Amino acid sequence: MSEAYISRGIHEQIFAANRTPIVWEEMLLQWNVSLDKEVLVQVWQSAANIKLATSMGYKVPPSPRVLVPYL
Amino acid sequence: MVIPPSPCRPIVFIARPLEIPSIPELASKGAYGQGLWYSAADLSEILEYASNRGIQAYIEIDMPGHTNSISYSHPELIAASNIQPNWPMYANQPPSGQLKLINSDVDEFMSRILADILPRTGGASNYFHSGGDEVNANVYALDPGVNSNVSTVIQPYLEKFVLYVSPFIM
Repeated sequence: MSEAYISRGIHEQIFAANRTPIVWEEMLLQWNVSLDKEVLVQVWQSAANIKLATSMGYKVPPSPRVLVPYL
Repeated sequence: MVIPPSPCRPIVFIARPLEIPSIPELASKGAYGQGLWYSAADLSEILEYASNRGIQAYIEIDMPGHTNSISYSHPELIAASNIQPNWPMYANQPPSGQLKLINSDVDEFMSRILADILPRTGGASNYFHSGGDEVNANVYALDPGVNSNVSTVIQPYLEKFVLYVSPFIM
C-alpha cells in the first residue's frame, strides 16, 4: 500500500463525486453517526424507526420490507 | 424534480460478487467458481436496462459489515472472518467478518473500490448506498486496532470511517 496515500471517509468520497449517500438505519439510530442531513436513511427494521429517523430531520426512502406508517 | 429512490434489492452480491476491474481478485477469489460474478459489463447492462425504463438504479456497497467476501482475496483487511462454530456471536448470518476500523489499509482499499465504481454508476443515479446494517460489536474485540466490543469505544472509529479523513495516528 502506498504510504503517500491519504485516506478519506466513505461519505466524503461519495459527496466529492457529486453523489448523495444512502445508509441503513443502524448508522443513525444505533451508532449515532453524525450523518449529513442530505444523507438518506433507509429503514428496514420497523415502521416506528421511519418516524424516528424523520423526526431527527432525515429523509427516508421507501423500503419494501417496512410498511409506511400513518405518521 | 427529484424522485426519491424506491429500492428493490434484486441482486445481493453475497453469492455472486461484483467485479471491480481495478481489483480483479476480489471477484475471482470471492466467487464460488470461475466466472460466477457480475462483471462490469453486466452491471452496465443492468443500469442501462433500468434507465431505459425510467427506473433509477443505484448501487450499494455494504460496509463495514457483511464484507467477509473480501477476506478470500485480502484476509488482512477483515476481522473475525468466518468464526465457527460460534458465528451467532459475531454475525446475524454466517460467515462472519467485518472490515477492520482505524486501519489505513482498509481505508485505502475501500477508496480504491469507490474510485472504481463511482464514476461508472453516476449516470444511473445520483445516489450511492454505503450500507451500514448489522454491524456486530463483538467483531471489534478481535480487531487489534479497536480491541473492544464496547459500543462507545467503537463509535468514534466507525464514525470516522463513514464520514471523515481519519485523524488517528496509526
